Amino acid sequence: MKLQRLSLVNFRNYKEAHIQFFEGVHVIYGENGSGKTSILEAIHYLALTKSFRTTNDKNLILNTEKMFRIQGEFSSGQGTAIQSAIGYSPANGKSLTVNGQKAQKFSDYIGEIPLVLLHPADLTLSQGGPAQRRRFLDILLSQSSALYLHSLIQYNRSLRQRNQLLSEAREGKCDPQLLKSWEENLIAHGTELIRKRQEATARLSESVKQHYRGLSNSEDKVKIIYRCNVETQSNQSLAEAYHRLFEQSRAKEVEYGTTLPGPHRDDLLFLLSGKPLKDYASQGEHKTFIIALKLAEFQHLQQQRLQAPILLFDDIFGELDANRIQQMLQQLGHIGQVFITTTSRNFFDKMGPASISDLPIHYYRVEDGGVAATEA
Amino acid sequence: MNTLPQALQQLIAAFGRLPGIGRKTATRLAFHILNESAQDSEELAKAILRVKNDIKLCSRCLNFSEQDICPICSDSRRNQRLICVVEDSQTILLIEKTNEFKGLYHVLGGVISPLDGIGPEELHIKELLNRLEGVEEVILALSPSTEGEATSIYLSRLIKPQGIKITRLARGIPLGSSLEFVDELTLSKALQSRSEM
Ligand SMILES: Nc1ncnc2c1ncn2[C@@H]1O[C@H](COP(=O)(O)OP(=O)(O)OP(=O)(O)O)[C@@H](O)[C@H]1O
Ligand SMILES: [Mg+2]
Repeated sequence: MKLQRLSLVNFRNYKEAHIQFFEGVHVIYGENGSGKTSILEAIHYLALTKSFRTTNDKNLILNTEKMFRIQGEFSSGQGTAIQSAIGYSPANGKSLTVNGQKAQKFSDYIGEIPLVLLHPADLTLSQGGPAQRRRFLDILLSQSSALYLHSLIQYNRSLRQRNQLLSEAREGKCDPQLLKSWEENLIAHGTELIRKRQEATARLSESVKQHYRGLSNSEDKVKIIYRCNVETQSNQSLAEAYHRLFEQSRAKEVEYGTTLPGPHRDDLLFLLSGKPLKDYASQGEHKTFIIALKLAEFQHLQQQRLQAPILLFDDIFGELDANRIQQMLQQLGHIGQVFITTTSRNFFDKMGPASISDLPIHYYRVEDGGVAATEA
Repeated sequence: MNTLPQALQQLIAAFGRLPGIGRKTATRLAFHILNESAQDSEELAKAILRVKNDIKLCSRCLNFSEQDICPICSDSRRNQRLICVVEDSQTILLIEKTNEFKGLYHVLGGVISPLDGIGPEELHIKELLNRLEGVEEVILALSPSTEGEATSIYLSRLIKPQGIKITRLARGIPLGSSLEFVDELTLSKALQSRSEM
């Protein structure tokens, strides 16, 4: 997938900007606070209809303005063009137009423009809490399966509904049939989520293992395990086990006022030579692992969507040395398009006018809400 | 300072409370009424009052009706052993247009949504359970939202133990559309609920 043109209106610190992109690596450089990350954020928003920095879209609107708009022209590997535009205002909400047609459901669109992001927050993926790891899986799977995204939306909605019932039950009001109806709903969508996550984890684990070996030149084996709180006994189906767990948990759930069993409390376990990465790995090993994981994410989407995802690297030079980044790009085989932000273009200048794994490099200087393509 | 006469302000506010009508449209409607003939306004006012005074809920199916029992419920040619459960009266209009359904209806008046404070008591569920005698099949025609699904599950949990057949509308590919243009989700769902030939 390739982004050819991007237009911003009232987005972050951009009043108005029109930028042209090409094949290969785009190095976006400029001072702190000039607006580099905002460009990646706009691309991310256009592909996934969400920011990676905020959940409140109001923060994305230029200071005193009332709306923002992002427009992009993409072309897929097969050569078909996709024009998408997203506008948002607190008064009218979010609206998405794809090839001139207003999209009714965002879930039909997400995945059309596969994308992989690596930013500083990802480096805590192997050290932080489980929510971050579930989010990683959810973003990956939502892009590869419309059914997954649908199940996820329905699951989360059912969860909120049932939690509301549970908090009422704590005050003594409780219709057990009603509670069970929402359970069935959760089980229907939850088993779908668990199955798809297990499947994806098994594939990711294989692929991460290979990438890790390639990056570290060591024989250390890494492995990823999906840790599901619904445990199946022999000859018991997932749905049966799930049902039974609900039966056992209900009293406690009423006490806590929240739903306990289910994929919203699952986790990914990362292992290095059989030991949990979290308690065992060095800083360098964590970093290498995260890169291997991102490479695996890239590959997974590439296989599912039959084209190379767009790659976004936000500000990772502080965290990763040039060597690692170069290795990473080299491992990606055929990369369509990469966007890299940095405060200094030193690293790239040192490499000379040549290119990264034969990809052409394009430079963009960002200055206070303005972007200009510069000479190599 | 608002210089409009108070009566006009009140009318604008009243229109503004209607669904889909903003302040601008409300103002335009109010001025339109101010300028039209007294007879037209009177007819409008009467029509509104008649709807409020003469239309009540059918005591069987809870559809809007001018009689105590609506024309559908009192039509003896319709299959009394078949009840189609819908969220609102508008769905009945849609199904009636197909001319394919010859049973009776039951209007729930919404779907269960704890977050919106809507539980079974807020809906016409008790009325449904009270009219199940002699019924052979209940068709659930609720929207495919999370809340619609949960309501369907809740109803089937209550009704199935009484030995009554419970069905719901199939989800599938719109007729006459090429598979190429069907969205991925609809296609996945249709695959899951495929039927044997
Ligand atoms: N809604 C907004 N309206 C106006 N300015 C904003 C808005 N949101 C953020 N900003 C400002 O926009 C500027 C650009 O932010 P951005 O994160 O893109 O910078 P950056 O170039 O990535 O900086 P760094 O190198 O420090 O990461 C910042 O000064 C930020 O404070
Ligand atoms: Mg930044």
